[in-house]
Amino acid sequence: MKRKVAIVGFGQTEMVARSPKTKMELANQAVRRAMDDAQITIKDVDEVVIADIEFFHGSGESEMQLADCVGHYMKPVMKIETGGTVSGSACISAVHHIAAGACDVSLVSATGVFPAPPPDVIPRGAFLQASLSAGMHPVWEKWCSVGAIGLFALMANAYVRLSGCTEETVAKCRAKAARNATRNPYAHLRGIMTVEDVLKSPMLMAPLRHLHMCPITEGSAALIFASEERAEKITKNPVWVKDVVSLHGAQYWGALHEMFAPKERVALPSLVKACDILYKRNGITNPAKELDVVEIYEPCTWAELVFMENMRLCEPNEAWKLADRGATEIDGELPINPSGGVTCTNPGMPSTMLRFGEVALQIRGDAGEHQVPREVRLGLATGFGGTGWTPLMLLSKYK
Amino acid sequence: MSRSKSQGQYEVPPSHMITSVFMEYPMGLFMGKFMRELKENARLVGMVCRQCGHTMFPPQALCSVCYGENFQDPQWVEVGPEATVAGLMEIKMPWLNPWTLTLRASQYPVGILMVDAPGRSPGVIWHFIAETDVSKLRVGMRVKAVFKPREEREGLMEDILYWAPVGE
Amino acid sequence: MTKASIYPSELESAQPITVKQPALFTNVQYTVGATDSRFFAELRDRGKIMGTRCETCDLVYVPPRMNCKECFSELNEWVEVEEKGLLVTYTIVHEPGIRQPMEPPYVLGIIRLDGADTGLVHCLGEVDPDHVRIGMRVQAVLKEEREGNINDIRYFKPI
Repeated sequence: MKRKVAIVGFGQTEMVARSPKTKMELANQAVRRAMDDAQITIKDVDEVVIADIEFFHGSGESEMQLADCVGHYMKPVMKIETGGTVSGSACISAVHHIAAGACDVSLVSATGVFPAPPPDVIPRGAFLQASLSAGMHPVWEKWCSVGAIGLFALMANAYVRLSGCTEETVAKCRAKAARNATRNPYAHLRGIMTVEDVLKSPMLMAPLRHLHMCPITEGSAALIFASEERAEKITKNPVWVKDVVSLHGAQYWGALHEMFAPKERVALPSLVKACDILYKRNGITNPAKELDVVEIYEPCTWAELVFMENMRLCEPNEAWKLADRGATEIDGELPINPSGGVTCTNPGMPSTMLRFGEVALQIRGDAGEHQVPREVRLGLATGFGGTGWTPLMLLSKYK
Repeated sequence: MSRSKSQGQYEVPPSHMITSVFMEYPMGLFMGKFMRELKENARLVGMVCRQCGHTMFPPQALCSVCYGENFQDPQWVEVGPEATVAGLMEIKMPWLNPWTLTLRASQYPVGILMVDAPGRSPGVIWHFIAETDVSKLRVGMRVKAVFKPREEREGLMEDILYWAPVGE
Repeated sequence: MTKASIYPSELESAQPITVKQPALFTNVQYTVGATDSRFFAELRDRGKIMGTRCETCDLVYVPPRMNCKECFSELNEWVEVEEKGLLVTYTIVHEPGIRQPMEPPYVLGIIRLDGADTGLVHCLGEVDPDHVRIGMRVQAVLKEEREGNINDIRYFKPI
């Protein structure tokens, strides 16, 4: 990158199932909190990047309605729409803009609200799954698709078949996420969950249980990026963006054979390749040792295990053993998702940004009760979306 | 903040918008041929890339693997009607039929099916497997497409009722 | 001379296959939000039109906004504006469409109410479209039975 870029502010709203606030109100709240965190005003912001998935809040072109609420009146604005990874792509765009010298301070805003028809017209769950299926091929995939749940049931089946992963381990992993989330004041699902609770939860599509799957959450987040010069003036604790990578997966979900119908190991090819590129560019040869914290975008608990392997944090088919012995706990040798992850908080559009922001908090030592108890110098955050889209951000305490 | 206190005092009903909008759009030249063959002849057709031999199912002019162009003289091939099961998902919840926006459910599991194809790779299709007892199914078993009668076929995937397990 | 097509002629000349799909977000219910809620509640319960005021810029926004677009202050000061004002601009809609407030031809205008600095979009009624002029003074005509939405104002009539 031509110029160094740092995160100088992070704001989020309390994440809930059904917010009484509108998209505009939530976005405004997160933006104001991010600016408070950075101790800057809207005058200091050169550009705004809005991340959104079209039509999910009932109308398109949300940048129009959001204008006054994120402060982009008469400012340069970019609107990014990349499906599930949208806030990841938007953050990467902001980094590119600053690195290229197009601006010095960029505010990225992402908000998820999910209105639905009156429940007697179409049940909300089915409606939202259909919205996720909206990006699928009309003839080939949409007709038998149940959105994300079906995809991950297929992946989980394959993982059990190849690795021998037990239900108990997955339940343990989910209980860990719940425990972490109780220490995160903004997380959505903040109740303690035992292994028994997880094992008893209803089966959605074998072996995927209700509690394995991420919830539907409503909320907003905002991140502020700045150039090296401005970052050092704005804050004593800039979190340096060492690298960003973004790779897209496949044309059809069905084409991701390695994920749904693998022969030896379950893999999301774009995640594998993106990490390879990132590690090589940054001289990382032993990621499990060199990374102090990892925030993985895991749409379900099974994905946390599979993605760990794809990120070469352990050998293929071994992730569940690592999780089983507690290595991924907040005080373990490789803390994964100390925030509780997406399985505890999933506002959709901001979900990837929350991963980036949470790693930043860990590096700053600002994560409060869910701070990992060690010096955090290097952290990696991932995103996920259709069709197997992977954005990555490597964050560092040092320039 | 004063605004949240006044929330209860100033309650109005949610905004409710109803717009009956349909989209009608062509499926394209290559997908169109696939749908015509399905509807009229109960045949599954794909394409084999003339540059690298990869099977494209559904058919498309640009190869997904080598990006080779197959516009001019596409190599149409019949695929199936048998396939190998490569993945399974048992659907225990209803979902929305995209053509009618009504809830639908199925007793049959959905399988990832590697459809027999002459190219150097199989075609992949997601479809129902005609066996409600999932314990009888396993990855690697063979299945065969069962088509609806001509008058019920529309050129959509539902023209295939399901794929029935074949022998042992 | 037409360029030869890159596509096989048997595909180009075949009957196009189309699919028909209902759009998904055609029946949606969503919260109005705190700012608009107060606007509509005041309209419904007291028959008053309210806006929010920015102290710094001395601007009154109708419809009310939660932030000032100029200075980004949070707007918490609510003021009442007049039911009458100026027709700033208008158009006559002839084309039929979906979700129209009135049968075409109807007059759609932007009205700046006395006391406000921004315009409210609404229709005109009790007027011959040919006699509408920019700069006309107009007055809101409210429904007797109000629900708490923009249709509580039936239209604006000339005064």
